[in-house]
Amino acid sequence: MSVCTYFMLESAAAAGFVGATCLLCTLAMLTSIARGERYARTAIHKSESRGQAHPQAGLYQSILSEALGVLQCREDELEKSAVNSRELQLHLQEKAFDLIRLQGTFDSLPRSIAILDENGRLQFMTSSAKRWLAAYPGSVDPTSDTNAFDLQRIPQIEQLVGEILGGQSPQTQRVAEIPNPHGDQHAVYRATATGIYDREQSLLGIAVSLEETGTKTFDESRHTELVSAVAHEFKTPLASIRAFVEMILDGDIDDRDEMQDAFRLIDVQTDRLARLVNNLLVLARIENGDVNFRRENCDLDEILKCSVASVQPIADEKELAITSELDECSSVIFADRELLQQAITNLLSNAAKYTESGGQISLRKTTDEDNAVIEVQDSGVGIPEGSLQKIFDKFYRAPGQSMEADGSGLGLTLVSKVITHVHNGSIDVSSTVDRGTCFTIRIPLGPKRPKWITNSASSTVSSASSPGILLRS
Amino acid sequence: MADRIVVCDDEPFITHAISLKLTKAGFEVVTAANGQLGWKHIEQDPPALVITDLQMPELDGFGLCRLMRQNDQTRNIPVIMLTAKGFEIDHQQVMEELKLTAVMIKPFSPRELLELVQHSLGTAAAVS
Repeated sequence: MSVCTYFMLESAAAAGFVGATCLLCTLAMLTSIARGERYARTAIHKSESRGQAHPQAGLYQSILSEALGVLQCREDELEKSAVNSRELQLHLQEKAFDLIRLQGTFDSLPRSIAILDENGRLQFMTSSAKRWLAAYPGSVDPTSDTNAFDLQRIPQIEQLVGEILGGQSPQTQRVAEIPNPHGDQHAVYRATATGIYDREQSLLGIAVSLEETGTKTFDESRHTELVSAVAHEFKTPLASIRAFVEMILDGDIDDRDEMQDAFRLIDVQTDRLARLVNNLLVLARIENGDVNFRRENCDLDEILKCSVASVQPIADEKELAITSELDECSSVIFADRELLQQAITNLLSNAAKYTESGGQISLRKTTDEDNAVIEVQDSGVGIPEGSLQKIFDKFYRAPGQSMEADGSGLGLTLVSKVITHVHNGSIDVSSTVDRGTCFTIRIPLGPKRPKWITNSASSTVSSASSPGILLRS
Repeated sequence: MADRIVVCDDEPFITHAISLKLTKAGFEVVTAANGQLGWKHIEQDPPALVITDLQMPELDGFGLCRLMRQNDQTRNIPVIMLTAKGFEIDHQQVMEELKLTAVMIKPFSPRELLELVQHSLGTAAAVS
């Protein structure tokens, strides 16, 4: 304030001209400023004396400084946690990148993948799975406001997932075929559901993968070819039946033994026709993705023994020796008993068919960590290398293999589909011309045994017997 | 002496039926499970007539006919072809190319086959 006054005076003096009015004005200002100064001093003085007068000021001051101390502490901690949070953030970001990378990896796979939680609720889907499901009629749950996909609205997947959730399926993996939802009725997708378990074998989730099993676009010529092949297979037994019936009617067969023979031949051929029809129906069911096979826990040994028994008469007639060698392990598998027995019987009768009189057929069953391994070996004519890949094709017959009375041309196709599609197993074949053929089937054992137990057990128990021991326990 | 006929088919029931029918009608019948085995019989002792299936392992009906048409001893032997193939082959063309006497579609009538055989060999009156 005084600086201001001085400046005003000085500027007035420097001007060398002080008007009477101006001087008066300056004086009045000075007076009012001096008054203000005094007022301020009084106010300060008053407040100082009031402060000194408060009895608890000391206490407040100590609380205040305490609080300041705490505040400082908190500030330090905050700073530390900010550092931690930055680190955490970086870590989270890294994890987020991991997730994106994982998602990208999943998306790049040719299969569509969906992950469900332990209650069967959808947790994750690859973009291709989303696209696939979006096009599948009924896969979007109308009751859900989020328009969430409901994988289990697709009956084939529902059954697969249901079997794993319900613990009915002793296997971790199940396969079903789903007709293409995109209008093309001839493309089929294979759905595989795999249970994800923790070390205690409790279910953590289920991975469902969808794979297009070849682009089976409808091919008119292939269709005609197939119908013609089926017709051919029907005509052959029909030809025998017709020939013998006509000859009986014409009186060509008069001898009692000849007549008996003729009826036997007609019977065999009728049986062959019936089997052909049955095989075609089963194949059609499997190819249409029908999952309603009667799978239950079965004793594999029993199935194998029944199969051998049903082929024994054919073998006896051709003087073939059938030896069966089943290991000690009880092999419980989750199977459609009838279909599996039919498949094994097909393989055995196939072996009998292509083995010369006096030859050998052996059936062997062993057990590895996860599978029952069945081998059907014959000492027959063998299959040329070029034909090995094709023998599972419909109506394929290797060159040089004569068409015997009971061949339907569907036998091996059916065997392979029954093993791989219905039982999640595998079938392999090896052969040497003139030495014989060996079919090896692997079928997952059940009920499912925890892998980590098997691993630790195999160090103390011989590998051949450990699965059996674990199964019994 | 009875006319000799070679029958080739990989279906044993078919060869059995044909053999029975023709034997009753007074023919001598030799059967073979494929073209290769059939050719051996035909080459060794040329028969009066050959009945052959089309689809057979080792050597099929077409192959057997070609072999026969290339050989002076068997060039002119009448051949009746049996096949389960219906519309898949041009019968007229095949008949002309391989100089077939007839093509019969399976399932066939043994009675008609016998008539065809007798007609081909000009023995219809004599046997029936």
